[in-house]
Amino acid sequence: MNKLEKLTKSEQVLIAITLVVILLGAYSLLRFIPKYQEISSLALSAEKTERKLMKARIPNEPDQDVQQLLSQLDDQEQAMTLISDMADSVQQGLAPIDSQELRVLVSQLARDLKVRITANERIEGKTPALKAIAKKKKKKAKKTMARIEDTKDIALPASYSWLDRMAPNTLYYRPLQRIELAGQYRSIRAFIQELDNLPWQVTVIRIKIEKQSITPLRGYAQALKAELVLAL
Amino acid sequence: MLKSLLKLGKSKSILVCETDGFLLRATVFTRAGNELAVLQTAELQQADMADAVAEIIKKLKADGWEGGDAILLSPTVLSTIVELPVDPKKPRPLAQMNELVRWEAEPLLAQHTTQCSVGSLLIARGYMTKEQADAVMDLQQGRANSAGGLELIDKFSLRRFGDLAEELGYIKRSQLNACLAGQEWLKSNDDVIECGWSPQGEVSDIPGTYYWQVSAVTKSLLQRWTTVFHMQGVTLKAMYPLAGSSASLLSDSVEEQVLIESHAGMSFSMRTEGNHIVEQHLYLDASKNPLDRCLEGFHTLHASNDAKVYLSNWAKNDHTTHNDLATALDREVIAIENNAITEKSSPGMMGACLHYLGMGKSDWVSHVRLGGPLPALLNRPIVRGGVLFGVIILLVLIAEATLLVRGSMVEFNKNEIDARWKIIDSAMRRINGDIKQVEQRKKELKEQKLDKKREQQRFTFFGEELPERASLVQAVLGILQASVNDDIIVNSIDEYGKRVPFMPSSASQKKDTRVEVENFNLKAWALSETAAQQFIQTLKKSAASWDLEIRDSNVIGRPGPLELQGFMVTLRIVKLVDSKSLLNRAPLL
Repeated sequence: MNKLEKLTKSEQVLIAITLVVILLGAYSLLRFIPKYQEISSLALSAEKTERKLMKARIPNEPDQDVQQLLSQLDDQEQAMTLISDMADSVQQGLAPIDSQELRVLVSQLARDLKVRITANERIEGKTPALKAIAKKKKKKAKKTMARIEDTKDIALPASYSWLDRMAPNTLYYRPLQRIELAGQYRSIRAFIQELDNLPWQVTVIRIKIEKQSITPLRGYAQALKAELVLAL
Repeated sequence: MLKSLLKLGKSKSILVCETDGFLLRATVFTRAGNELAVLQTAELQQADMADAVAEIIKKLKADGWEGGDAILLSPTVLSTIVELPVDPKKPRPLAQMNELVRWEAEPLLAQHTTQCSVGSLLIARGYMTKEQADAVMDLQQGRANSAGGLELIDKFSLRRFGDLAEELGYIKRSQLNACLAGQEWLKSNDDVIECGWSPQGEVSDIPGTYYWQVSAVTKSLLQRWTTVFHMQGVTLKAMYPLAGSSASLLSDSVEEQVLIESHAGMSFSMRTEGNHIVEQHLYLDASKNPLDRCLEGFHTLHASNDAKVYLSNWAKNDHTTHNDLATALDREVIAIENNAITEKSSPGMMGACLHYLGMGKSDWVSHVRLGGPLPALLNRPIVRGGVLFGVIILLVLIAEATLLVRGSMVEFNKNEIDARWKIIDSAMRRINGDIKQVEQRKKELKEQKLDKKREQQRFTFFGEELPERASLVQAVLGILQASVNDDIIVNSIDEYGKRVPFMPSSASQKKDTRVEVENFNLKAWALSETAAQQFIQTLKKSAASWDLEIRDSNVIGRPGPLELQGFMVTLRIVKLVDSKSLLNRAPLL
């Protein structure tokens, strides 16, 4: 106590300043500033949330019910099953792609009906339809092309030729066979008729029949030349 | 307010001791509201004051006192009035003030301590008369005296007073020893003194000069007493003058007041004006009776007739003084009385106690403490430290309160916003989830529809369109076979050539919205134009039953086989469908 009382005024001031600096400094560093920063960050966080709240827009409730859609899906699936069954039955009538057996059957049929096959070659339908479609829908051309490339699954309407409609990369793709026949009209017609009786579906999708330049002998039928494109 | 705080800071009980060098009297006072109450008392007469203090404190503790602080009233403490050119409202620094007071008090204290000489003590104790003391003094100083002739001078001139008095037969050795022992606690040869002071009013005829009541005692004596008390675990806080301390019992008054305090062998008189002391005197004469000493004391003052006269007379000293004094002065004399003044606690002890506890009139008594007077409250380092600490605590509390308030507000706000956000977020999540699910289902539905459509198209194509095509081909061939007769030669039939675009291109075609989906070009030759027309007609009829039409039929004269004249027939067998039905069968992409 006596030592304290003997301190000069300047010493007292110095000690006071030192104590104030140490105590307030320690309080500020260890308590006030961290707490203040914590509160500030809390306030900032609240402000951010408030801004988010101001900007937030609650979307409209969907106009369709999920359950309703699920029920529609179920209905669709049932319909799909039905259609698939039907499609399967049709599919079973189609020969496997590149079926040589069917070609042999067609050849045998021609021989049996006295029709001479002079040419039998495989052709591919062109796909002009793609370009045509693109031209028709210029704005969406690129997008459409891209989608076509992706899907490779287009179906052309009946206004397009059968060759176009059954070209590769279409939904109705089938291997096409071009045959040239020589024979009488009845034989050729019988041949076309008998194609329906083959185990697999064979359809004439293009036909060209013309008489041969050779005039037949009297009492004989006119010799014809036919060019058929068969969808196997 | 600071004063009341200071009161609270002081202990509840205080030991007040009073001594005349031979007797030690002690009373423990305690604060009881605005009054004092006596807790314990003790009194002891002993040659050695150190032993007396030990005994007294032991006795008080045995009676239940818990110890603590003490103050002491002693005749050795000087109390006087000095004139200083210091305005109490503009006090000098403590050190300077101490020097000023010490300069004035030193000679007065030296003079005051003469009352503690062996001779004075022997007279005060009644062991010898003043005449005997004078005789001894005369012998010491070589003056003629009734006690003996000049012939004794050689014999006694170098002898000490006590020894001489004993040899002259005035006193006994034991009486001398008792006085010498008492003197040890009353007198000191030390030059260093401790002072205390109390400001009074301005000197009437000297402007700028003020009366200051001063108390002083030698430092060594004060230390000795402090040590003695300290050895018993008690802190001696201050020493008060034996005479004059009862002034604390007076109340504030601007009127003139006179206080006469009667003690054994002396009287103290004090006069106040305007609530300040203007005169005070100590009259020492053990040979006179108390009344005479009081009268002497009163007459040394320049009291007016209107002055109120108070007598602080301890009944233990003399019961009759009060009435005698009133009679002698022929005026009212007010006796200072209090419940705390008992046979073992004098008015001076009570006054000193009141002064120390800050309960009485504090300006009219001053005490002496070791280390000198305390500076003004705000100038004390401990108080300044306390104030500083308080300010720091206050700042910290303010900062904490600010943090608490702001933190609470922010937290409340955040909780509120978070709660709102939680509600909105959950609603958004739910709705977005629903939307996503709906979109997903829609997509699945769309894909399924596409699959379904695709399958359906394939089924239609392979199951219906191709068989229809096969039938159509056979039908066309059949129609041809049925329509040909001997006048007609069919040259060719093919499907190459004309085919309409997907949509009708000219305005004229708008009327017929049908489009050709099958086209067979037919070339034939007829012998006659009639045969040609009949052929066309037959074809039309046959084709109608198959929903086929004959279009672009032309009959032109041309040579035929074997250069026969005839007619060339060209026509087209077409199948038409409504363009709307084609639109419904739009390309699947």
